[in-house]
Amino acid sequence: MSTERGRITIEGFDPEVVRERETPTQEPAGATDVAVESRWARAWRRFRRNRSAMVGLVIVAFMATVAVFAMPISLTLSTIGIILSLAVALGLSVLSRFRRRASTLLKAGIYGSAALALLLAVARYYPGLTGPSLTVQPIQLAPYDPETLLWIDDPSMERDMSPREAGLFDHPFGTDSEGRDMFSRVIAGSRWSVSIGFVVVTIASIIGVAWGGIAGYYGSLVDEVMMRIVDVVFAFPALLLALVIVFQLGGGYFQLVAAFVIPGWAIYARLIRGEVLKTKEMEFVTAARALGARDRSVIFRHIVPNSITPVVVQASLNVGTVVIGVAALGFLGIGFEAGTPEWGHMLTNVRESLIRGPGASINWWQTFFPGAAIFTFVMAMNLVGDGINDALDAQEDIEPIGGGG
Amino acid sequence: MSLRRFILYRILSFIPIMVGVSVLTFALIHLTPGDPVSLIASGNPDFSAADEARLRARYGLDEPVVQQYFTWMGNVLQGDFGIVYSTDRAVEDLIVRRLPETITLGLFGWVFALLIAIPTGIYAAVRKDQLGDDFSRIVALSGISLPNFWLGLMLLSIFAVTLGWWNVLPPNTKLYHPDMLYYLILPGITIGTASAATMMRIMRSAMAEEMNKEYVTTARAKGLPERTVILKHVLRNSLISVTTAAAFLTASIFSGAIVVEVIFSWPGLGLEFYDAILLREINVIMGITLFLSAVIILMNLLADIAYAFLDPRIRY
Amino acid sequence: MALLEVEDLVVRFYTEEGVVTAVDGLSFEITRGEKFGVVGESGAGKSVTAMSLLRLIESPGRIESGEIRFKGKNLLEMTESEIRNVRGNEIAMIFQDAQTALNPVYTVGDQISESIRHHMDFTDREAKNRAVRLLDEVGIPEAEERYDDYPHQFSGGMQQRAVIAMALSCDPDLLIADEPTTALDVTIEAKILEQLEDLAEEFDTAVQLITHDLGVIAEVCDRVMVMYAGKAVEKASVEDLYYDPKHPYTVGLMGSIPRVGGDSARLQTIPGRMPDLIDLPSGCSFHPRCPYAEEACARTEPPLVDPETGGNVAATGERGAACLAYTGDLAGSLDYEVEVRGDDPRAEGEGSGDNLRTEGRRGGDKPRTEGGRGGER
Repeated sequence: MSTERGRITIEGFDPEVVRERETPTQEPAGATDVAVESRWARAWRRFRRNRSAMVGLVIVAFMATVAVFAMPISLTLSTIGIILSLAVALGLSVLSRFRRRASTLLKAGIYGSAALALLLAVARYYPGLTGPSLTVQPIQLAPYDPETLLWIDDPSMERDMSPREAGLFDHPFGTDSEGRDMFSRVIAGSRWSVSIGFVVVTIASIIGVAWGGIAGYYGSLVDEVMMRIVDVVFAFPALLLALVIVFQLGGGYFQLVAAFVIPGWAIYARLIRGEVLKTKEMEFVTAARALGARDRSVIFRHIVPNSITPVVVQASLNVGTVVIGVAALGFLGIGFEAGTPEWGHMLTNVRESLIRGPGASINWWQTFFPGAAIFTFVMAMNLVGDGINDALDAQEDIEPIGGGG
Repeated sequence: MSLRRFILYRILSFIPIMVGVSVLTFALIHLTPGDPVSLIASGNPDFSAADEARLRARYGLDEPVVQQYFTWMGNVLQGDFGIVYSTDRAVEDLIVRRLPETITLGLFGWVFALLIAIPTGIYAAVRKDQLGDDFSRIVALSGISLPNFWLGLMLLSIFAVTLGWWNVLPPNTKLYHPDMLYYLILPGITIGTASAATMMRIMRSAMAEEMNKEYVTTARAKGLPERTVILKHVLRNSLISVTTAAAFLTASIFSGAIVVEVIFSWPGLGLEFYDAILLREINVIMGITLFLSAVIILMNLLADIAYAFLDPRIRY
Repeated sequence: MALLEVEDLVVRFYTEEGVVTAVDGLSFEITRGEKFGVVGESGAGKSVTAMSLLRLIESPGRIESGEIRFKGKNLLEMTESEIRNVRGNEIAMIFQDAQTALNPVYTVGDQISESIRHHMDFTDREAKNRAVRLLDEVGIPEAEERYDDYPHQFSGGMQQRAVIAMALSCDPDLLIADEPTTALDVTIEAKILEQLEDLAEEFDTAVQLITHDLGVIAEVCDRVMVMYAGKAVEKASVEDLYYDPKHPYTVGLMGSIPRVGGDSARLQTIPGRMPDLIDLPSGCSFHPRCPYAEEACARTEPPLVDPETGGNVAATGERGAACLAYTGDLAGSLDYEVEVRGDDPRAEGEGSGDNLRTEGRRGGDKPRTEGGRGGER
């Protein structure tokens, strides 16, 4: 074979002919279409197709609704004010993300509402100004008040009545060892678990993402120190730490939130730091910085959105962990007043009666229903979390090999 | 970084972390209004102010907080974890006495978890997206969603109370007695289930991730049987990441131990911790916290070292 | 009988977005010891074809129909253990990215020996010796020591050589190389290609070289198949393909190779993109991008025919192009010219140093070759 090949020129192959042709040529392989649909929209589509995830979502939504409407909610005016102004501030900030440059009006709105919230909070504690209470949510799904001892008003009601004894329609879950209606208690209990789960995870993830994002982005000494602190938190068994915190702060809603946020934020910090380290090296970040973007902007506009996936997945799976943790504390009798209708707490009495050994009567309904409630919610939340994982994960999956030659 | 330097670095970082842990532990207990003595006093109406002052002096609680910290840490480093206020006995004796029970329970749970998780994880990964995978995924999720206290209660009520097949551990049973296995079963299953489920998911996802890689296709293209491809090539790579996860289980096993020991009256550190919370025994609380944290950090350290060993890319 | 005969291969992927026909009725042959090139843009179906040869297509992909005859036996009908016998042993494959093709937790030497131990009846020591010798042959210095090294301790070029060694370890009759040099530097690429050629000669191995790089094809191959949208649009010897391309797509590819010192200010491209394989254009898949397309092209899918005779050559190794211009169905003509400066090796004996021109067919005409413009060398 000759190694001296001729030099070839092609003439007469005119691409203009194709471009000027009127017959609509085939759209380039869906390039425009795919780009338009955002990553999240696509993920939602995938999620919808996942049957078990959708079932989980429905259950979670259902239980959340029950939690809201189980008992009436009364809030003082100042609390309502705080919540509303915070919501406005948050909403406006989210809105500003979608606009290139936040207009002064928008910024004023954000800072103004945040200031208002702060003002109301301060006024609440120092002079004690709270304003009148309004019943924000009047509906009560629970047929009986969860705290009422039924036998006081109705001598036919006793303690420890099984559903059959107490009447399946009146007391489908029976009564507990103090003579309270189990069904109402289980429904009311959803408030504790559902809300604490979401609140804790939201707060913990925000703290963790901020922490890990900064650590990962700045690297070197900042990173070292910040991650050592994360390591310290990780060294504690989570439940142990929660117990100690509740031991110190006492029981109560926000004390419990703190008890689970403090051990809980660390995992997010670690996750996001790992992702940030990976993303940091990618070219689009270098490009953004070459264009002169500020550090804060680079972190929040470019790196975080791309690293957020594992955080979202972890958060959705974490809700269940927190709910079980709170219930564990309730079960151990720590952090709740006796008689609180919290799912875990409702199992305390069972433990005590069991220790008496064989021969003790088992009130299966006292054990079963609260525990099943926890299990159902956590399972549903985990199905959702798994669904989110699959929906977001498979994004990176390869196109059918057709795309790779 | 060479392996030796890596290990050295990790071991050295143990110290600042432990310091951090001790500081946090101490701070959590001591940084609230009212000190331990007032807590004791509030539970005991016969306490006079003079008694309080005397106790404070005796336990060194009248010193500034920072100094108390150093005193405490100094003692700890010499093996003195303080006094159990209610019994006037040494905390470190308590820890030593109760430790083996918890270790046995924890070990049982850990082994149980791995024995279940690894085969099922492999199975699920191989059968990915098919029925077997879906089924095992649901089972694993159920395992995670099951509150361990509920599981324990149900197991107790079914097997111990209703059926009478099982009994709570009688006091003073020898640990190395083969009977121990019998007593370990129910609490061990309770503590191990959540870990088994978690590990199984990790195993599955690690293997699924590996199976997408090019070297798997290459191995198949070489004509190797599928079993060799999975068990020799894929597994070895997955085990690297799974090992670290297995070590991290330690923390959750200890968390679980508290609840499980309470349910089954298992005389270990968890039960002691719970009692200490109820009795407000701060020295016990601090001592057990410090000790368990140290174990966890050690396990993480071992995991990192194991990871470095297993992955040739780090080793060489 | 050719070493490998592929007949009417159809491979489809059932994805969420739809059914992707990655390979659509593909036929070709490779003879013993031949170096056969498969060229085309990304998405043309080249890799899928290669994977199908070893039955490595996994769900959601499926080999729907067709036959792949290797040494007379249909690979698609073999049992699992039979095909495993073929893999690595009689047909071997190397991939684009050598780094990921090697298992990071086992030594390179071990991975080579593994193949040897599995297919041949060697003891461990014999297998190791053979592996070391192979490493040496592919040009890895200090082969004996390097045997115990891990993949990450090799450079990119060395990794690819090791992969080649692994592929050739059991003396296969056919080596499929899927973009073997795409990930390498140009200088390394040249060396690897040279190595590949030498080894193929020495071991008498046929090579199916898959690439999108026309330069590589020109360097190494004897015969070439051009793929587009899962089909073969032209098959020719390497000379014919370059000096006398028949299919408009091939012409476009040739024309889009940038040349230094050309007159045009812009790089010439083929307009548009490879179509989405879920939704192929009707008729000839290339017609939306073809400057010579007519209505007929959108209606009828042209079979692979001999440009001279118009007869169907799909299942043979003969020269063919899939264009209606050669079946006589095209009203207009393929209006391109191929100008060759310098020597045209095909015209050896007709006097070197002449400028030659060959023109594309005008509907129904035979090709014309004009010689001798009395040009300079």
